Amino acid sequence: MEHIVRLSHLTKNYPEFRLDDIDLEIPRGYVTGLIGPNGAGKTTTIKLIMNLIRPDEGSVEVLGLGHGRHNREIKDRTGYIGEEQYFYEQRSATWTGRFVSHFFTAWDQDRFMQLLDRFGLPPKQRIKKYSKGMKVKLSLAIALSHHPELIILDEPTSGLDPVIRREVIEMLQDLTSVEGNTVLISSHITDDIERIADYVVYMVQGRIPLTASKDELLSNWKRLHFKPDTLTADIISSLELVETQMFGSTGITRRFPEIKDGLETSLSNGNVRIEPVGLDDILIALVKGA
Amino acid sequence: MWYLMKKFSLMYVLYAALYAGLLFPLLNYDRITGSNPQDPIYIFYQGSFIFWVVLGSLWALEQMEHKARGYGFLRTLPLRIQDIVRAKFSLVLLAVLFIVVFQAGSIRLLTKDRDLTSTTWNFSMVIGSLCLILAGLAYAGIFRFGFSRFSKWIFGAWLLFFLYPVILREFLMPAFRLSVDDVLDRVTGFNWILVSTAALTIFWALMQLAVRLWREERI
Repeated sequence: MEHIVRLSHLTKNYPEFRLDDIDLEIPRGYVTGLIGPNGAGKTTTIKLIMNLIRPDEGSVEVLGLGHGRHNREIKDRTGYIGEEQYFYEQRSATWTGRFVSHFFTAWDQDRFMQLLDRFGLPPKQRIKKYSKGMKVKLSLAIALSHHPELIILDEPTSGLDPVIRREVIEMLQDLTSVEGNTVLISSHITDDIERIADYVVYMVQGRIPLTASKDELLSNWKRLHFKPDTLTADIISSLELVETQMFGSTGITRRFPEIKDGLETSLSNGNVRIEPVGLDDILIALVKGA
Repeated sequence: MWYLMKKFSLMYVLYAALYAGLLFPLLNYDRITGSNPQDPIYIFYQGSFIFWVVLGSLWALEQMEHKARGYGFLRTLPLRIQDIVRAKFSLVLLAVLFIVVFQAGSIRLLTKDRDLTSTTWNFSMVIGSLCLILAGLAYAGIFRFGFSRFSKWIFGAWLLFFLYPVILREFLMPAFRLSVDDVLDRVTGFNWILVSTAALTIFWALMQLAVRLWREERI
């Protein structure tokens, strides 16, 4: 599999936070979701990928290029939507499109105008008067109008109301499924990632404890509801976040394919029930286990 | 880089137009009407306007960039830091050149006096050179500390430069028993070619420093 981003031994120190020697590879042609709680290091990682901050140690390779000599080329071939949208807010979307068109070699003005229309953005209105959701859509329109090979979105739906959030995610879903772009999207809203990601990277406290395809994660991780004294010690030891209630216990396993055979008897006599987990359950298990 | 310069030039154009269209005619009323064309005190006062146009435009531009969080936006674009910094420094240089040529040219046209024109040219070049260095230092400070932090420390000093004729005439010149002519003689006694060459060298070095400081900036 070809990788579009490679991070090796990447370290960044802040007084109260450390991105700790992370290694990460983002596959080309897929949507990768970067999930983690607030303050896990998602934005720091993305800023390092975009060369907005410099690493203390380690290296960043994007599109097979290093930022030292190829910073301009990397940004030319990457669409970036930051956590906050920065524009010259006294200006309009049309002006902004014209302004940025001078710096992107593959800028497509027709596509930009089409996207403004599709996203319902008034092109002549001052950006100052746009809502947060509209600014995110404008960022998306800019990011997509220079035909990037890689699109990086840092918490694009953070602070949006549920209706606009759903709309933005659906637009992104449409655009990525039709055009097959490589996307790296970070979010602490696991629902967004679950909808669009092919691969998932979990970040907790400046480290990456888990990386896998979404399908693999959802098939390996399961929630078990079981009655007391019905599971073997080996199965019990594979469970995390075990909670005991009046009518039985609940736990999450990350090794479901391995323990599946040992559960057959309990499943058939109704002592165990298996449920799928969401990406948020996995995140909680990783955070509590960190 | 040209396109960036065009983007950043708005404040310089506004300040220069206000100076050339309104403040210069007001200040030179006597020269334009011919009532007192040779009075050198005007040259002295015109120096303030070099500071005002160049440093005032720079400050207004940076305030606008800070408010619009323009650097945050520019950094996401495929632009080299040195292109952005060069565009800003080039505008400062162009503004200084414009105002020095404008002042000397206007005096020449209004008075037809070679000596007065030469004094104006020399004086403006010296003040313009000082202005280049101050602008370079200002950018180095902005890229090192950020606009909001740097502006807290420096704004008062900026005002002193704009008001330098008042401070000189009211406090310093009486203390040293100097007349306006003495001050003009001393300033124009400098070799303007040497002064401006030295200033340009320092300006260029400050530009390199500003690029380095921006690169090392931590968000």
